[in-house]
Amino acid sequence: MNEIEERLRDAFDADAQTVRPDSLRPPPGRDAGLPRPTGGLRRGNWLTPLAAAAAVAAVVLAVAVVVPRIWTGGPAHKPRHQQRHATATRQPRTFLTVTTSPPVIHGDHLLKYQAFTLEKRSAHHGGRLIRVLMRSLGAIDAVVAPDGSVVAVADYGCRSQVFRIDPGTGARRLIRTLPESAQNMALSPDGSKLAYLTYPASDRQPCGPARQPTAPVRYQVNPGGLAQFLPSVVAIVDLATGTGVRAATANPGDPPWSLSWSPDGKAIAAVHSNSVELLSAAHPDFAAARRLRPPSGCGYVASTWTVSGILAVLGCGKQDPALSPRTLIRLSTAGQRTQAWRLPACIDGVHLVVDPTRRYVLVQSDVGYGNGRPCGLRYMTWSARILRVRRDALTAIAVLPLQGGDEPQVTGW
Amino acid sequence: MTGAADTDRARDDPGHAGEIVADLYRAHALTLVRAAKLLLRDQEAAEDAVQDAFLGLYRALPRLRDHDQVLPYLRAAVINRARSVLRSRRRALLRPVHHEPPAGSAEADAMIREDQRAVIIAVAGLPRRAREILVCRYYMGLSDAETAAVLGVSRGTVSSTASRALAALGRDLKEGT
Repeated sequence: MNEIEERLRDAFDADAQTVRPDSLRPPPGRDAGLPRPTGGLRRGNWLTPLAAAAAVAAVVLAVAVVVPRIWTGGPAHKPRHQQRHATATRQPRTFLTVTTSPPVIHGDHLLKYQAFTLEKRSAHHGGRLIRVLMRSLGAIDAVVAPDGSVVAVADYGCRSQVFRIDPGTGARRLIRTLPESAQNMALSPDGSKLAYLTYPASDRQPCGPARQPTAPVRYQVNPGGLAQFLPSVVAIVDLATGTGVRAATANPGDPPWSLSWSPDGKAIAAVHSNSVELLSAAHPDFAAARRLRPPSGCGYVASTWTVSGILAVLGCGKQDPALSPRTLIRLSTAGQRTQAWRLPACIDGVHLVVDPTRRYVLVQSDVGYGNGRPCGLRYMTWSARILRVRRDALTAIAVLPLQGGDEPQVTGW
Repeated sequence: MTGAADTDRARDDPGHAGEIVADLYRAHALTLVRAAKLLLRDQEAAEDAVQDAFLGLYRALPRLRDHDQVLPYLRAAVINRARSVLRSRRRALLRPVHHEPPAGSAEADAMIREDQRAVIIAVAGLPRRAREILVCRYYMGLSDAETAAVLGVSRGTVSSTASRALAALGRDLKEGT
């Protein structure tokens, strides 16, 4: 072996040692919910007596299950998300967006209300649209549940409807109606509880429309009056029983934002007063919350909680820190910064979503306006850049144009 | 390595396939992740590639007739998935996003000397097939015949490409010093 071969072998071994055995993910196997392998029957012996008996049993079982379902008008088979076994340690191949279409107004008459569309998109083909899962006149928020289904909330102001949607077929089922507005939802790691932002009981919101107008309606600006503040109450509801707890900020004019659950389901992180606050999920109370403060002159704009810490977007500057935030950081729950990434320039809106395993994070950064150079110096094309957070990189997986009034927003994956 | 009896049983008993895959994972995942990381320069992506390869093996195990082919199948699957990742990265590069990657971890930095880092950087500048051949030969310790089987090329291509790659590396490293 010559010198260069020795150096090569030496360098490969040294580099390989940086991958530590204890850092590897668990093996794929039955615990990871893998699908059963195909091709288990050998050619020529498929019609054994056992196979024939199994086939007869399968037909009888299918008739017993399918016929009553058809009779009662229900789905004839299990939803695809239940047939599809999740691979617990892989990153998602799709993500969810909600596209807001503006109202159609002609003169002083309104022809169509603002509408919302929940879409499933490919994370591997530039955000290509795969399927429309739901349309609603209520503002939609949705996340992927641990079982692979999609839990979506349609907020009509005075009430909200919670649906469970099969992402394979779009079939949906109403699982709960909440008697209030529900925004910025976050699903607990086990999928049993929903955290959301709402208004204090004394600040009832008007009901939004449920159907498009059949004839042009006289257009009124804010027919129900302006909401005085954004929602300032964090509510947590058990989806099975409807029971829940809630916590309000001391000042309704200082609302929280960007809710996310801790991986163990015991706490909730919210961005509030430029800090990340950690609330108990069992007894939420802003007065008792642990506060992760930003560096001086800066503020946290959005956050989400992963198995390796809290990811937060940090903005700094004399003006609004939410305008042109440039740094994404990983924090320990003690508030120590452990990793940082640089975000694109000219961001005027940013938020983070995490997958159900709390391992993989997407960052939506709406680019087009902001503080400092090059923002504001020339006309910029507005776009939503969807970035994927990897161990040491921030990679664009899709660029969705913000044009024609339609605004897509990543809501889950 | 799994035995012929095991693959036969996996064919007849799909549940057994999971145990075989888990055993193979314990025995070979670390080496394969390290090899994939040498090709991809990203541990997360390397782990993805290896997980995908094992998932593919799990599905294909009942169809594999020759138990000696399991490990070469895995190696080839990892290399193929690494190629897919590199192709995806090229597509992503078409959408420029200003990105400032964080420095490597202090622990990883301490584990690699400057001269070793120069070799790794020089390897990263080689053509894709040359990198794959060097990793198969000098990290996985495969023979030319095994490398040829994994990459789906002739044995002569392996020898000539490796020879050219080593010469290029020698030139790069000499110029670097």
